[in-house]
Amino acid sequence: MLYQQLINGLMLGASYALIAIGYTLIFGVLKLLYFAHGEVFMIGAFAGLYLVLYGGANIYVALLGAMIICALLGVIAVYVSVRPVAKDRPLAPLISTIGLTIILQNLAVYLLGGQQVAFPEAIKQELYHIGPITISSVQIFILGIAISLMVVLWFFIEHTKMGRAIRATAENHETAALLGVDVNRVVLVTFMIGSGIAGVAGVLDGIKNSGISPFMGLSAAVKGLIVMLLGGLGNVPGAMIAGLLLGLIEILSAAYIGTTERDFFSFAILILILLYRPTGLFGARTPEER
Amino acid sequence: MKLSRSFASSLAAAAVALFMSSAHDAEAAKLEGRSVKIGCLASVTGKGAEWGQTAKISMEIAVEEINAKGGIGGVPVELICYDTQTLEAEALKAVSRLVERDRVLAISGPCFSGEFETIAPQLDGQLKTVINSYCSAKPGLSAMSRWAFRNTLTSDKQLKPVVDAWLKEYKIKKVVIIYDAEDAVSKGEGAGVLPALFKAHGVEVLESLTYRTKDTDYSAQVTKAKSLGAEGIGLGACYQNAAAIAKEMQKQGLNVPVVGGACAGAPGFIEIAGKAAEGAYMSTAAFLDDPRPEVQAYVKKIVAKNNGKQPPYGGPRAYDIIYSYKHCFEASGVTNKPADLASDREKIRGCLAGLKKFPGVAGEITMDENRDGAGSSAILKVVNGKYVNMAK
Repeated sequence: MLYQQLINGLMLGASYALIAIGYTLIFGVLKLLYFAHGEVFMIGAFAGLYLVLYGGANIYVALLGAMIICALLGVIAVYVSVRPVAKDRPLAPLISTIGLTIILQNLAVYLLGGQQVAFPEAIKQELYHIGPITISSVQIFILGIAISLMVVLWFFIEHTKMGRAIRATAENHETAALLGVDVNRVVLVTFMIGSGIAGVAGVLDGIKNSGISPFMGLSAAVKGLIVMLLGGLGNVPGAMIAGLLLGLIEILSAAYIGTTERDFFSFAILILILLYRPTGLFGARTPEER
Repeated sequence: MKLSRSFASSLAAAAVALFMSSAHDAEAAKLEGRSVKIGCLASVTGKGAEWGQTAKISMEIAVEEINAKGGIGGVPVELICYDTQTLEAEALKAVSRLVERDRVLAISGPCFSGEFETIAPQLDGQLKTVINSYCSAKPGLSAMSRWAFRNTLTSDKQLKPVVDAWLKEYKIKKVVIIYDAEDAVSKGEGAGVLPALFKAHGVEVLESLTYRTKDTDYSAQVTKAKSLGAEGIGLGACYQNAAAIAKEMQKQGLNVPVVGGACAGAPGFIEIAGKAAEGAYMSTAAFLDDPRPEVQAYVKKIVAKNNGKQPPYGGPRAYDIIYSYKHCFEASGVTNKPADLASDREKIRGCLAGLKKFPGVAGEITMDENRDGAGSSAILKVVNGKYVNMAK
């Protein structure tokens, strides 16, 4: 049973990691807790649902569509709730993105109804038996997409010019600007990437949990936040590993200790880590925190 | 001759009409006031959304029908509804508002056991107004106050025939129970009703696993149930969670039958679970396959207003509550004068407590000594994406 539970943990952890990546990217370049991120995740799930249901799209098109829609939402978020807000008051953009969170959630309830809706079976279910474990085509698909997305992103951040610009901006806005980096453009791109990944995470979550609702964003946002803190602020590979770790911790505590205590353990571990390693497991990537 | 015959017949018709109207008057005492106020509590949003929405529509249909025929005691009915959001605190607030500000004669609802057990202990104090649930199924709750009624069947009454039929069809010897540790009725079923029923049949409960209402990931529980060798799964769950668990079972290749209780057997279970719902047994307190014209007339109206879908049992049960209130308001000497509010409420309470074999679309209403509905209902099985009644 242990191996099977490890797979469950990886599945859960992969979705946490995808949400946390966006958080940590945005925190890295803006030092901003972007609250609306959970709602972007929710809208990604609904975008995928409607593309499959009414657009007749296959699952890859739905994933791509949700990614593009959420990336555009990221752009809107920058123009609506980040840029116009005074930058010398650090709390102002935090409040404006909380406002955006509430608007997006209420809009979703108004347009889509407050009910949980079924996510269509977009992937043919098949079971594979490998030694003691059973893995389904759905699980392979979700893990495959999540991990390849993380690899591509890691490559992008570490080995491309834009990736370098993002890292430079995260280090110091003024210096990056002096070195010829268009900081405004970097912020925009960061929001697009983070939101696009959240959109994909939303669709994957819909496939995994079979049902989605306008209220799914909040708990995703909280889990994403924990993972970001665990992995180290602004640390993208840290968020990936911390996400998988949190998924494993939750599933294993649910399987071997008690299902009602699973949140207790994830939060207890978070507090312990922050006590002994305040910069997260893998070190923060922001100068103030280092 | 011709003329006088037609004259005689019209005379006779007039006499009949006169007699009918006087008989009607004798039966239905005239009420005072501009409107007869009935309170309604419905979980229109939150985990009980499908239950609350269909119940609210059903009560509105009943009120519309009654008002079209002259109201209650000649006075039109005003239904005052609040959304409880399926939250205990909201339900409690709404009850005080209905009793103290809106000054309703009686209340229909709340739906959920969690809401019901929060409100019931407050009724004997200052509230002193009838509440009447159309879905709450956790055993023992109506005993909390003489003002607490439930026009529905408790889980033990609902589930007994269902578990009997489920075990008979699938020949199960070992089960795992998965239940919601936060939802009152689901916990009652998972920790009390189901284990007792399984024990009575000599079925071994390998383990009881829990989750919390807002959980979305059930992989750990399903993997554990599979590794324990469960031959069947007993669910104490509401329909959304039940459907997600059934889908997770399908994903992990745990293809064993499922049996679920009061909150699970809503049409939403099939909608969300899709093929994973096939073969599942669910309990209910009403199933609308009765050919009586009044039942089918109600079905036609509710389906038209509910996006073409049948309601879970809370719908017809709520509809019947409104008609039982009409009966009690007219039969027990309610005046509807503002000064008589307290005595009117007491009269209604007395009438409901004595209700026997009152005809409704969900079946006959008979209140037992605990002020819960008596009898048993249908056994639901999912066959080809639809509920069928296995009790027939």
